[in-house]
Amino acid sequence: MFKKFNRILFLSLATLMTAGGCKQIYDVPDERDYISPRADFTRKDFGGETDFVLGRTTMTQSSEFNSDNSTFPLNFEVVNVRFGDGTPTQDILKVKSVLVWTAPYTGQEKTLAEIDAKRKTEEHPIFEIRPSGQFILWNSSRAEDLKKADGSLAVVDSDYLAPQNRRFFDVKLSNSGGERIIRNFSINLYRERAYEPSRDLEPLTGKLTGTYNHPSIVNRIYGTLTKSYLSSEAVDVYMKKVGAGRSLTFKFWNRDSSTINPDNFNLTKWDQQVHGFNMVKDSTHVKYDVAFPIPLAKLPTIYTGGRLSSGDEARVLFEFSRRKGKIVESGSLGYNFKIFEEGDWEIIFHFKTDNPKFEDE
Amino acid sequence: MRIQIYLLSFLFVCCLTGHTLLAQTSRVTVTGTVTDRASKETIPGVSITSGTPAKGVGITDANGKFSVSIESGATLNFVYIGYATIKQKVAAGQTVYNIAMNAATNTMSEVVVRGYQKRNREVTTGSSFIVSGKEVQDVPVSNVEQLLQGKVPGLNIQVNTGAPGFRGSTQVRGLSSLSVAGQGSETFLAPTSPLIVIDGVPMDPDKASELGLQMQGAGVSPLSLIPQEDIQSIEILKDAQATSLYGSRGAYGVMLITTKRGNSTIPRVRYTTNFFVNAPPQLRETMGGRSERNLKLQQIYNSSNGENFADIYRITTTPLLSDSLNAFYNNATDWQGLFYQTTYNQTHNLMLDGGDPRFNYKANLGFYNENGVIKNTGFDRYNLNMNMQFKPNAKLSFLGSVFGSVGSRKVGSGVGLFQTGVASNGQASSLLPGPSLFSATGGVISSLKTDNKDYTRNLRANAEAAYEFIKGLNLTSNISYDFNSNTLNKFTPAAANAQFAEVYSSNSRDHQLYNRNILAYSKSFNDTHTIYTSVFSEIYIQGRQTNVIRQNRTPDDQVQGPFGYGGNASKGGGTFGDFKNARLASFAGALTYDFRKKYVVDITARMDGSSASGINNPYSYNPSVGLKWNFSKEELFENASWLSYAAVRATWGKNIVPNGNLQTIYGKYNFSSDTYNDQPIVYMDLDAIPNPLLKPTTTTQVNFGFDGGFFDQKVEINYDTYFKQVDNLIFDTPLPNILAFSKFTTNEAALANWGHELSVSFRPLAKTSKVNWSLNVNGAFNTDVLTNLPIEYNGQFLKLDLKDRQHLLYRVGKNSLSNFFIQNRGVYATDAQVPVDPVTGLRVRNVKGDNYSANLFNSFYQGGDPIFNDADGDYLITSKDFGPAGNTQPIMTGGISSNLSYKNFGLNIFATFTAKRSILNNALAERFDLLSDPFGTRTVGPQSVVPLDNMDVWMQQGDISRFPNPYNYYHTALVDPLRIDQSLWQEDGSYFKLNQITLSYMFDKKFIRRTLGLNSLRIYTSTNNLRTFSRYSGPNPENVTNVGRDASGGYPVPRTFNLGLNVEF
Repeated sequence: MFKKFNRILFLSLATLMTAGGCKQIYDVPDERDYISPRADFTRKDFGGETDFVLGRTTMTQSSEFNSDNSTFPLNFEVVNVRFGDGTPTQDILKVKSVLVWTAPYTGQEKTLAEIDAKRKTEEHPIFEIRPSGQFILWNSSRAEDLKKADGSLAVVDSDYLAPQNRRFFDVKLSNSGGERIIRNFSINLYRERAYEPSRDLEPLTGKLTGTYNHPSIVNRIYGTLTKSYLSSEAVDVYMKKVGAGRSLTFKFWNRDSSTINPDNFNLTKWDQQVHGFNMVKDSTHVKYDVAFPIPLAKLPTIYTGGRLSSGDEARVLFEFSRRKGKIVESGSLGYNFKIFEEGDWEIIFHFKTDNPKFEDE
Repeated sequence: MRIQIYLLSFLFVCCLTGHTLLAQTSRVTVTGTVTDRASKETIPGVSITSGTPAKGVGITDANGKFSVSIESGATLNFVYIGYATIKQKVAAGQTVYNIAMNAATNTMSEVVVRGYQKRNREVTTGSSFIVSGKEVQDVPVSNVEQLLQGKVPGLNIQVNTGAPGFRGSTQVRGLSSLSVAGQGSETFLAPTSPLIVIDGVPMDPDKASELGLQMQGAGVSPLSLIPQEDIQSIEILKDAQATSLYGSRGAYGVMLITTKRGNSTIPRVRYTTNFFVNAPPQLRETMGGRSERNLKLQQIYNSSNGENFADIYRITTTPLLSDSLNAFYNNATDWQGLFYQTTYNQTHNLMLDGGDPRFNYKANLGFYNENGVIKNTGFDRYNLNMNMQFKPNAKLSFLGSVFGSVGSRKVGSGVGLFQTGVASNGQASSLLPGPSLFSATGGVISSLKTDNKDYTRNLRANAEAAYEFIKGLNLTSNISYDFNSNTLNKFTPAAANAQFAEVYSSNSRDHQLYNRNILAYSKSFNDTHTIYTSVFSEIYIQGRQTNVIRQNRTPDDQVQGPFGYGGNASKGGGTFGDFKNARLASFAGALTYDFRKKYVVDITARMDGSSASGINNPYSYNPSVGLKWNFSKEELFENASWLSYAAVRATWGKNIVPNGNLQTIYGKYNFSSDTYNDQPIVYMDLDAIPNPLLKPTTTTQVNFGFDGGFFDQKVEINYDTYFKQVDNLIFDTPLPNILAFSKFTTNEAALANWGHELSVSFRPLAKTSKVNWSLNVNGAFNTDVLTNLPIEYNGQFLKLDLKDRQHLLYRVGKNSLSNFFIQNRGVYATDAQVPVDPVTGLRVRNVKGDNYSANLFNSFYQGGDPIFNDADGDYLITSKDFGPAGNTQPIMTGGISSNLSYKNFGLNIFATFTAKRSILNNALAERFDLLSDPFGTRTVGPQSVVPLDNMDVWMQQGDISRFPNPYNYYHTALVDPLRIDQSLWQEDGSYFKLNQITLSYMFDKKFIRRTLGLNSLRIYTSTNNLRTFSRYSGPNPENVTNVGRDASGGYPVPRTFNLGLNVEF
């Protein structure tokens, strides 16, 4: 009996010694991801005119999210989208197709097809947050997707940006360490302005203001009537979407809206003006097949003003030279711009007060 | 699941029941000789005991002969340290017994020390491991600790510095601290070495490093001051049952060192000498002269592809590259060779001893000399250790000992562990002229001519008296005084210090007065029930003060001493922060009960009152319980001849380590040169707020063990598994900046270690075989997990490394110290592999220094760049992409030793291994980094280049490689492909090291006596640190800091070849 007991005892001791890891026996905590209670965004109010404009792919800087060493990947989610009075809304989370990049844009693509091959269509909510904590408003966003607090469409009215129609939301972040909700972000989505500069458009309504954009550079262009060099205010720039294709046309107008032959800009490197293809140039206009938006990426290229430019805007520079007495004078007309919406676009440089002089003297 | 422990304890208690036994009487005189079975030498001084509890009945004389009077039928035990106890039953009629003893085979019969009392292992429950003094001979080392490496399972020793006189890192059973000091490659974990007790006197092994390892003050570890020849045995106590009686510092384990005692009726003189050569490890291959220039030029031409004319033009304005005809730039200097050397060293040790158990004495005279493989470094030691034992009668005994030692250490311009100056000067461009009469660089002079001597003078006196009042009741009283005077004098010549010679002088004294009184009682009832009980008290009085002066601008290099006070010359100094004035009083009690040595219960308790704990918590209680079941004594195994012995053990116990010092408890006051009302002001240091509530760190440990000997002890197995919870670890909490103080020290961090330790010994050959061979394999497996952090950290704390950004991560639930940096996932073979941000259409970019506002358009990654894990998915590489990786602490450590002897030859081979440990190969990172500055514009001046031919480096589009393209220096500056804070430099630091091979020959005794008149003569040759096998790409995976940083500034571990001689007159 005693022997048997000892044998059982021996076996049970042996089992105990080998059985089970210490982690289970001693209640040692499991490793979990870290989610800091101090993780936060440096900016929670996106109410400014330049923060988010519909129709433009806009992304906030990742530096605006301070993770406080929380463990990535973190899952971010925009939740509890609501108007100021608490009425919930889902309109800014509407899913639409967008073009996303699959290969890097270099500025050296040789055909439109080559550019197209680098992008593909994906479905995304028009406003979303990606795993880095960056908010993205996609260029698929349109004013007609948005409703006002009272449920009516915001297509016509200009007051959908009124305080009661401002949207609020919270951001939920989570990883295996738990979840946190960072509250009370607010956002105003401004109406589409399909191009930049957009001095001619009213930010709240998107309608024309009556003032116009002027070229970035007007240099040594001599007026035939005033017999003096023209200022940039003497030239108005009109940007118009005239069709649903994918092209960009430049036209130059005299004071009486008659066309100027582009060939007058005799020093212009026409193939380096926009990242476009199949250039057609005749006596009235220059036309390129282009991909949108313009510029395609924020990257310094020859189409944005060279390596030292910010890469933020496309730049065109039309140059010419003419004899003026014993000297040769060079004049130039430059314009920095962006176009966000796809279409057949025309940019018209209208010498409104005086005609430029291209002839030798 | 905790119930399992209780269940186990319950089961253990259950089996404490049993039977009785009878004894008989009739007296005879027994004589004989005791010899060593292997060497056939007689063994003097073997204790002969009999009865239970064991009582001394005699001892062998100088010729190994004995004569004892004993009851017929009794059993004689022949006990000698390092040998297996032999039990000889005195048969009726036989009075002559010739005993042949085997070198320690049965661990169960060893004598172990618990709470300063010698006990038989059979009736103790704690986990400990004994290394005999023999195992630490024959290989001369300045610190005997390094010879224990791999010999004790669970004792992790890393010989991570070759600096003479310095210690490596030592840990018993994993991590016990979270305090990390230093930055970059010089990051160190606060040492948590086991408490060392030398001949019953506890002392602090980390004395010298309390100031931090970078600014190590004067002082040599007491372990470096013991000559290895004087060591009789070393016992390492591991579990809480064994260590709890040592209270404070016992939490890190305890290392008991017993020095030799006189033991020969005829006085003996034994002389040991070693001559050894230390060879520096292979130096880094460097491109010399023209090949260096060509490589740099090639880099410039190729990097810019001929487009960047500015850089090509710049060659013409960089004479180092263009002016190859200029004698100043036309050299091939071997800079490393200027600093490293092969050294010839010696040790001499003379031991005189004599006496018998009633009166014996010993004097050990030692000299150790080692010159460092880095020039201008070295360690000398002089010792005189004496002890005397006096036993006027059976009841009274006295033991007195005096240890005197002088250690002198030279560290040149470095601090010993790091020789940063040597490392950076060794990297100078080979094109520059070497030092000569007319030219020399400050760095070289600083390394070679700085006179930096650190003297430690240690004097320790120890007196012990024991008296037996009645049979079994003993009172032992011990008093010791330990005094150290440490002086460090450093003189930096003017040429090495911007034309201002500097004197740095540190003078430190520390002392410890220690008293212990033990009352012990043991009694056996009918050989069935045995109790042993003891109570003791301990008092420590400790003090230390270090004063420092630093003066600049001595008149010339001949004036090397302090020269009075002058505001212009004085560059700081004062009293260091290691000031100490501490008291510790402890009371402890132990109770052991055993039933026929079959069932053993151990209960101990200790109370410590420490002035270093917060004033509100000065006392701490350290209880322990141990149970043991020697189950081989059960009837079940009565006839099991294959089983020599077997036991299972279970223990639980607690240890404390006082955390604070005077400053953390009471605050620190500084004086200022500012005045108030024309009076100098004294103000409180606002760095840390004093915390009088500071608790001592508490270690709670559960241990289960198994000991077994099989087949007549041909196989012995020793297994332990433990769980060690370390609570109340010190942790700093930063305070809001609206408060005056900047941080608050709390006790809220905790970690846990658990693991397994196994030691297996084989003696496959028959005991009568001419060849004696034993093989021991041992290993330990330790896992640590951080279990708690102060609440405000919410489970994670990042110890920022502002220098190299190789941060350390403390995350609850994870291994306590992980690296935290950018994860490298390989190298982009082509440009096309670089991911593209779907929103922006741009490739992944580097945001250098997290400067988002900088122009990032030329910092795109491309083919040949490393694939950094973009953890947060913003297609930018920033510090947000840092993540945890690796474990800075080794998971597995162990060793293998083989001892073989045949006739007069002996061959010992000893190897260690460490596995699963992450090392940051910062030296390699530095090597690659040398290529990013072809123009030599850095402040350190032009640097050499190292060939990377043998490296798997990306060269062209499509290459699949491990290392990124290091040659494109222009691009390197923009995208940091070689950044040091990435996992590319993290490698597996597993290694297998062939430590020592010793070959010895013992001359025939008769021959020696006849020809030379010597008693014995033995010659041996040995090597140390012979060869390391590792996949690690650096020079030595062991030569790294204890958080796994391999810095090129570390002190290389030399390879030693030794020829030694033992002579006995």
